[in-house]
Amino acid sequence: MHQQVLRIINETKNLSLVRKSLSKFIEESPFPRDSRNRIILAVDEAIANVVEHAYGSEKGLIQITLTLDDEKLTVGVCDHGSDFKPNVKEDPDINVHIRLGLKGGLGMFLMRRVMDEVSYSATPQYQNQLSMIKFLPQSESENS
Amino acid sequence: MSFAVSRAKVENGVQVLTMTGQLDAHSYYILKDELNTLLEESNTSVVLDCHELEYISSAGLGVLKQMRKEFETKGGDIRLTRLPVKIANILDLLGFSKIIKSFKSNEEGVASYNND
Repeated sequence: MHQQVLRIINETKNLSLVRKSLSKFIEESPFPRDSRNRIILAVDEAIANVVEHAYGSEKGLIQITLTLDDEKLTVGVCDHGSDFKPNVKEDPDINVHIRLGLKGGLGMFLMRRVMDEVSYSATPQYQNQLSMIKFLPQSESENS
Repeated sequence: MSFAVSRAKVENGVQVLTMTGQLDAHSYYILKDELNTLLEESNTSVVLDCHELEYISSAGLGVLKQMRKEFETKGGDIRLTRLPVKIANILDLLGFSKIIKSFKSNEEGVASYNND
């Protein structure tokens, strides 16, 4: 099992640092390139949401935990910001979303579309904890 | 890698812009500012060369979606050219390839305005 913990301040300039670290972390994983690109996009959207919403105009810490084992990649995103409980079960109609020019919601759509499991919880240590899981491909045919 | 957008050339009344780097929640305003400037100058036929674009997030796509609408209401459009595969895949994933026209070359993108 490999694990890496990243801690960033809630500033958008740090998004590229997380993308770079995540890209390196999963570079040698069994995920095919397109899948890796999608994972980076989904995680970037998750963290951008936290940067934008969790702490308002205040500075705050965001902790990102990357874990890769024989079965899956798990990405945990934790913050001490305001309570945030998005509807992770609702599946937005992305075509309607784009046609109407709706601003928000794309990040959650991406997370749910790309990752196999997305869940939120509140922990004693962190106010908000987002967990995203992507299972490794099982065979060569799934790599194509 | 930061993000930059620059004016490459004007051809047959079409402004060709080149984007380089990573277009995300940190850098999207750079593109938005440049496109707003073009609107103020009434340059509403635009080709965005994406050959050197390394990354785009929903924040970047949101700018393209919003500004394309504004260009359209003034009789123009924003069209993409030379999309790297990874960028094209993101557009496909979010359904943007259905609403933003894209072309293989800048020449094709510029010429497409003649066919309107």
